[in-house]
Amino acid sequence: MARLVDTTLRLLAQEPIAGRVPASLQFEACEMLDSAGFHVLEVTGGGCFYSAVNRGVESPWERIRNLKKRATQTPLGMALRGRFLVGTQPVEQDLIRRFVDSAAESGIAVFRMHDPMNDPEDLVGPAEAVRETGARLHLGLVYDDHPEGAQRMIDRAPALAQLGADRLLLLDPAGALDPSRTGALITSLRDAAGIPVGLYPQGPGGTSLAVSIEAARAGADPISVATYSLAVSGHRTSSELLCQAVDGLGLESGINQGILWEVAELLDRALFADTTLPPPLSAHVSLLAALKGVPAGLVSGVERRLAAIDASDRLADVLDEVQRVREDLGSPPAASPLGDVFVRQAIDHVLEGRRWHSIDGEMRALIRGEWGRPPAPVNPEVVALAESGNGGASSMPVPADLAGARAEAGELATSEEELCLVALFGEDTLPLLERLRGRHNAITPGATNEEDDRIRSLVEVLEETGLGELTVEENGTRITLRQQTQVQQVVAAPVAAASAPEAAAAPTGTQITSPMVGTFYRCAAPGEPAFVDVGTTVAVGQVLCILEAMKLFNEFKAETAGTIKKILVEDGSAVEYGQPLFEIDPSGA
Amino acid sequence: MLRRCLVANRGEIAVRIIRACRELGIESVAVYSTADKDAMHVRLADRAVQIGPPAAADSYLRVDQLVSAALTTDCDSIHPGYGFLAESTELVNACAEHDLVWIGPSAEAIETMGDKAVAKDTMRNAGLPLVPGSAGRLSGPEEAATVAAEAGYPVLLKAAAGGGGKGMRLVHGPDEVRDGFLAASTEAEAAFGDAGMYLEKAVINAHHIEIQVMGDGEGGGLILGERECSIQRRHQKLIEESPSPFLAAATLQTMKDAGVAALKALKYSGAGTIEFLVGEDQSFYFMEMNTRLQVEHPVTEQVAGYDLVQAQLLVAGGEGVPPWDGETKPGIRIDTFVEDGATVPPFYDSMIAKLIVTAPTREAALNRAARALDEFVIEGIPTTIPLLREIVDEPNFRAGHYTTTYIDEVGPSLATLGEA
Repeated sequence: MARLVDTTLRLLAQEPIAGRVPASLQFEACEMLDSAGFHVLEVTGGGCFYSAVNRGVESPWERIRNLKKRATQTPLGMALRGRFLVGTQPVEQDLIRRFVDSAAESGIAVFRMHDPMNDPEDLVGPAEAVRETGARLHLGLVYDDHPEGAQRMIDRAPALAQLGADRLLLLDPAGALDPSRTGALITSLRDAAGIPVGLYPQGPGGTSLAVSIEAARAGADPISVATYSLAVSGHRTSSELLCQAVDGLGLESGINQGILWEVAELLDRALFADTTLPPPLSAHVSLLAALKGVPAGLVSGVERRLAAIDASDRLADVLDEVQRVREDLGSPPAASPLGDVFVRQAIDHVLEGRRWHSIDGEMRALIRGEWGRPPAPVNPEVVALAESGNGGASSMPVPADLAGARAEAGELATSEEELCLVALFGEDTLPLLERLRGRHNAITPGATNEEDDRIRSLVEVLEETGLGELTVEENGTRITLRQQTQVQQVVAAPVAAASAPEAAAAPTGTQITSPMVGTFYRCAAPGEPAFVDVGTTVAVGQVLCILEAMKLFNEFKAETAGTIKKILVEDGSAVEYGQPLFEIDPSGA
Repeated sequence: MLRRCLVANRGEIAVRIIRACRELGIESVAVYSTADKDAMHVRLADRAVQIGPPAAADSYLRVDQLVSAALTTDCDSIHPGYGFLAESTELVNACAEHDLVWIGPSAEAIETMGDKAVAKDTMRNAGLPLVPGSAGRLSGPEEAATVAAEAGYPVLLKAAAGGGGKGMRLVHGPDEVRDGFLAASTEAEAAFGDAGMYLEKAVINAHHIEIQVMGDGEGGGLILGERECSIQRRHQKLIEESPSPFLAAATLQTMKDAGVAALKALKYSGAGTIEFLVGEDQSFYFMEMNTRLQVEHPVTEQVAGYDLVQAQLLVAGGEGVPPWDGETKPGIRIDTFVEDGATVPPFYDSMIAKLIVTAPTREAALNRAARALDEFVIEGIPTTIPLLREIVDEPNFRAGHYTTTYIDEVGPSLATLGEA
């Protein structure tokens, strides 16, 4: 069996296509793809987050949740750049954990990641964060086109399997894989890692399809594909064509080909019916990518940049120099986000007419090994130049951290997931958050900035000291802050709610309150026994009742063990957030 | 006609909507976070449902909790107010899925106007003027010079990937184009990793003027006049006035015609605002459309003698756009949700009240505003009252001479600005 992973929805949400296809059409395509029989729908990744933040219209998290609602059969996947997550620099483990948690909570069930430096050691933290969520893990190696590259990859494969990956992924963003060698490489990697090996091919001029077919014959599982028009214009493997080939070879893709062509037609109308829009990658870019052995996206980036400074005639020189820069750096892959750093350096070398004269902060971090271990040693001469401070001491961008993000976002970020965006993309996130808050146009009486700061600092005092209440009088202003009762499903009962005055008589009891607005049901269906009765002893995790909201039936589970003393709500009645539902005696556990 | 409406908001706008419902005989259901337990809107509504903890993301921004609250209290409709989820297609779609009437424009209109590029294309096609400039990324300094000559100097070069002023250059004439382009694109490259540039005509001494519309959903509706909102601080509007002391009658008429064209193109339903940037030569350009009720809607209500919130409820209830036969209502109006002893929770927007004064002439209105601000006493927290009081008497403002840079230029001379 050769299963396929569809990446269409992810490609639609990143440059250069982001914004061209209306969300409603993407959701329609999602429903169709969901029913086609794919192994995974890869719906988001680095480029998608970058694009969503830049466009400032929709939260990338919201998009995942909206897709999740439509994809009821196929698990959703997310592509990550290891500890770079979706950004351009490595970030701390705490942020990685929160980011992965947010993704899992939004509906991501499969995390597919590689380290931009191809260093398995740098995947330890991110892999651990994924395992903690219980999601599936595909760990990748970027194809290394060096003469010793294949052996270097095979050497690194076992380490990835040990990190708990259930698939090893061979990525080839530069289209450098030779179809004739693909089968043997897949087999060797599988033997070394001891787990199935999947493929994420890209390549101009049909190499991507040729490589995919060879990989399928060698048992690659799963193989990443995209809808026809995106495959043709973006150097991916067409899901329709690969599916046809694989089924023809008797390797069973398990996919309904008819649906794929319907999706292709649906998206084509939105993507290419307007002939004034250029295709994502031109034939010129395609040829150069093939000639120079670099990712097509990188070629088009260089082309754009050189055009902006009237130096288009140096394109071929810069691409050659990119390869030399990579070699000096120990041949790390030329994929995002490192590709960009190489390109800046290469342009500098070509236009300046001398090499390694100036070195910026990100490049310096790369040379020093702060971003990970490259496949081969860095050229010692380059290391010496970087350490000598030649070219001025450009400082690194401020590393992403959560405390800084909290300060930057202020009250604009209202959740962990939004804080993660601020930590990764900095102030560029603020327009998006402002939009999400819908307050970019509201009148805020101006008197508040300093006052806000003062209140925020007082809130910190309150939280640190654990005081219940704090009153400060200064400059004729009196500020009183009161700690809200920590919102939990179990709160102490002595101060009972008016609806259950008897509760006050039971000082050992605690109340269990509703975490949501909905309808309360004591049993799974009419006529079935109640989940709990008065006197039932419950364990942590035991279902207490059903809370129905918007026709979704949510099991509400005990967070404390104990004996149920009272049931405070009638079966079938509406409850609101915070309303007491049960009284429980924890000592009776 | 609607029967029972869930008001999915807090603060003064929740109070405002509940009152409009009551006058029309529609029952109202308020929602509140635990921080708003004692708030005015909770007491004023026919019923109230607690929906979550203080953080807006866990309460007022929770689509599922709001819809669940509407369904368990047997509401037939949801009014989003402004802010929070007023422009959330997710809530619009959830309403449709659960047979609730959404009091606002269609998800399609919200989505179209929510995407800047799509909004501009749509309005361009409807015949509205847009700031002249390049259609997309410029190929280099040569194209920049050509486009700039067509648009007319001065022009603004902007980074395609950008924001926050990085990669931006004001160019006054052809001899500055090449250097400006190279400098800006290098800066953009460093900041965004993308050197792409585009270009726009720079609108100098600009005014920010918007028109209020009320669409019938079939392509028609009312254009209820303009609001001049150039007095802004940190992109927040401080003072709005209508009519604009700057806009010429002929310009206003052209702007209204543009509004009619926009309503028709969008088949827009309910309240909305179309924002324009107006140059000192009275040339005007479409900026964006807000597909919701706005904070400053009472300005139009008082001047036009038209109840916009009631109209929203009637349009959504299938009664059509109520006719406009009102006249300016002189007087003083205060929209607020605070009262003696009320707390202002730190979790939400800090706006606590709106003061709207109306009089037959601009001078009389300003005198009345000065008096009202003198008598307006709020104890316990600092407010913008002293700042507003000074602006009202500031000579340039009195004379009607102000643009969007007013606070930056005149602000430092206002004694209270530093304290505010």
